Parts: sequence; structure tokens; C-alpha cells
Amino acid sequence: MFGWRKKGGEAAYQGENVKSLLNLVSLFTGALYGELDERLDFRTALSRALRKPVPAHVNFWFCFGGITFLIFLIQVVTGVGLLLYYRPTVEQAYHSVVHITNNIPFGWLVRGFHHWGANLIMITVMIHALRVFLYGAYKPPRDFNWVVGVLLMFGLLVFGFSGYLLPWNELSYWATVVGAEIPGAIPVIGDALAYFIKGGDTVGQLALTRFFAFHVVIMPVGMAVLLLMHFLMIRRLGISGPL
Amino acid sequence: MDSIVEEGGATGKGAPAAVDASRRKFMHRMYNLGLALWAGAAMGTGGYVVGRYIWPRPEGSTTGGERSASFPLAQLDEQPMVKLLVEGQPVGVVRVGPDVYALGLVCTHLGCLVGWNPEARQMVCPCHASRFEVTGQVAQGPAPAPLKRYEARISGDTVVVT
Repeated sequence: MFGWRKKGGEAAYQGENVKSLLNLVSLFTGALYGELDERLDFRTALSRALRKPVPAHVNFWFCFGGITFLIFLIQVVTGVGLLLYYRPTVEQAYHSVVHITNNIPFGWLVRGFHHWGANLIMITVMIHALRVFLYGAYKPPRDFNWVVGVLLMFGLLVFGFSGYLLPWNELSYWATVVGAEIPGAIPVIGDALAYFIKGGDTVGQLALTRFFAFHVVIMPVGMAVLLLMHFLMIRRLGISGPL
Repeated sequence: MDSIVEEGGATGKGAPAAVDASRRKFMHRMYNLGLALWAGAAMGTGGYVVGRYIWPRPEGSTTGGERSASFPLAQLDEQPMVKLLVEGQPVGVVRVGPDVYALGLVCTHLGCLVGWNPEARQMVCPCHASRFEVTGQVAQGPAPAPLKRYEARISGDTVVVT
């Protein structure tokens, strides 16, 4: 099976040529087990990056940051899928969502994943934050990572709020009308902030366009930057000690 | 790979070691085979779902549900309005004198489902009190347009709505 990995000077097999060919064709496996790996040594690079021993006290509750990230990735994939059919106009938004759910093959599945992922990710991120808090993992030197984590959690809330409007049904419309009034209660800048969020005095086409832009472009880019900081910092600082 | 060496050296004390090595090799192969089957099944299923999802479908072939619906005429004796789905849209069938009318029930104002008022012989929207005649015409605002009219035919003792 691993015969081709042997360096020259040994007896060659007829079957090895076929195997090498298969490995070149299947670049996916070839990158890890075949010719590509032999030349570029991906496996060592990957194991250096991924094989990181964790302390013995790490238990199930330490998994929720990773679970949150997994759901985030699911949201990215299913969100791109929904983007193929969603139309962000007041005339067509609702109908395109109904179309995705009822007519597109497996559209119900893609939308269902996105819907339930959005709900679940708030639960997992809360458990993650609670775990960090109860273990005191927010203390220096990890205090900046806590700050970034709180920003990420606010980012998720903005994701949820902006995505909630996009189906453009009665529930999402009035939820946004009410939700946009909340920043309006902030002293001095509140009215201007609400005006900025809604793109006008009322929730209309401009609000939908704006929320759409926030949900699919602005927020994902910002989240990617913050996530990178979050991961780099925990890699540099290591996992905090036991209770 | 190693089999040439094993076959050549499979004599005397070398034999048990060779058997162990090939057993391990077999297990390794089975493990890889299982992994490959699992990955293949996952990629096949995922590829099928993603492929079906992203492949565009012609417009017009996308309305859900049946294009026509039918029910026994006697049902109109028991209830003033019979509700059914035509192409996924809610439709109400009512009888006025000898005639049967089928109207889309989605109010043209804000999309509430209208109900039948037998006394007034009008469709009434519960949300903002728009009223519609049995022909679908607006009798009272704020609805801006008539209800969608469907064709209702009495064929024997069943009513067919298209």
C-alpha cells in the first residue's frame, strides 16, 4: 500500500504505476498520501499545525468554542447556498424564500440548516462564554481574547438581527421595526443611529438592502478578521488552567 | 511491497513475523477501505444534494402543488365555503344561488386570508375589513385590486377548480 513511498533502488511494481496515477488524479488524497505529499510534505506541515497537545483537565465544556465555529462554517456554506436564489427586494424577497423552501430541490434542507444553525449558535456561544467566565479564562494574559470574543458575540447578534429581516414576512418586518427602536433610545445619538440602521425613517426597501449588505458582506468580513485574531491569540497563549 | 521480502524470507524463524506483518497490513487495508467507502458515500450524497440544489430549473415549472382540485358538490350543503389548495394557493369555493364561484383567499391588501360572509354574500378580510363580491371585485377598501378568480366547474356531482 505504501510501497511508492520508498525511495529509488528498490524493486518497482507494475501496480505502483497505477497507484501513482490514481493519486495524481485524486489530488485530494494525493495531497496527503501521494505524489504531492512526497514532494511538498503537506503531512508534516499539517501535523505541525494541527497536532497540538491539550492539557489533561480539558473536558467536554471546552468543546463549545469549536462547536460554535463549526456551526459558523455551516452558516457560511448554507448562506452562500441561499444567496444563489434569494432576491433582496421588497417585492421578491418573501416569494424567493418561499420558492427556496418549497420548490428548489433540498432548498428546505439548506434553509433549515441556516435557520436552526442561527438558533443553535447563540446557545453554543453562550455556553462557551459561560465556560470561559467560570474557569476564569478571561484573566490576563487572555484578557484581550475575551474582548475579541465579546465583539464576536455581538457580531453574531448583528448577524441574527440582520438575517431575521431578510425573509421579509410580517414577523421579521415588525421585529425589525421594534428592534430598530432600541438603538433609538440611546441618548443624543440614538435617533441618528436608528435612522442610519433603517436607511430612512421607516423600514423599507433601503432597510432591506442595508440589512442584506450587512448580513452577507460586511459582517462576514469583519467576523473573519476577529475569528483569526481569536484563534491566533488562543494558540499563542494556550488553554487556561483547571478550576 | 514487502511481500517479496516476506515470501523470500518466510522460512524457519522468519515465518511468524511475516504472518504478523501481513495481518497488520490487512487490517490497515480494511481500515483504509472503510474510510474510503465512508468518504465516497459522504461525498456522493453531498454532491448529489449540492448538485440538485445549485442546478438551475426553468421558471414556470416551479409552482408547487396540484394545478386543479375537486371535491363533492354535497360538501357545499354542509359548509358555506369549501377551502382547498390550487397550485399551493388557498382557494375558497362558495355557492350563490345555482352558481359556484372560486376565489383566491389571499387579500390583495396585505395578504391576510379572507373569509366568507354568507349573509352579505361577500368575502371579508379580518385584518382591515376589505370586502369583495363573489366575482372578486372590491366592494369596500382598502384592498387595491380584486381577488384572484379561479374557474369552478360542476361536473356531475363534483366541483372541479382550476
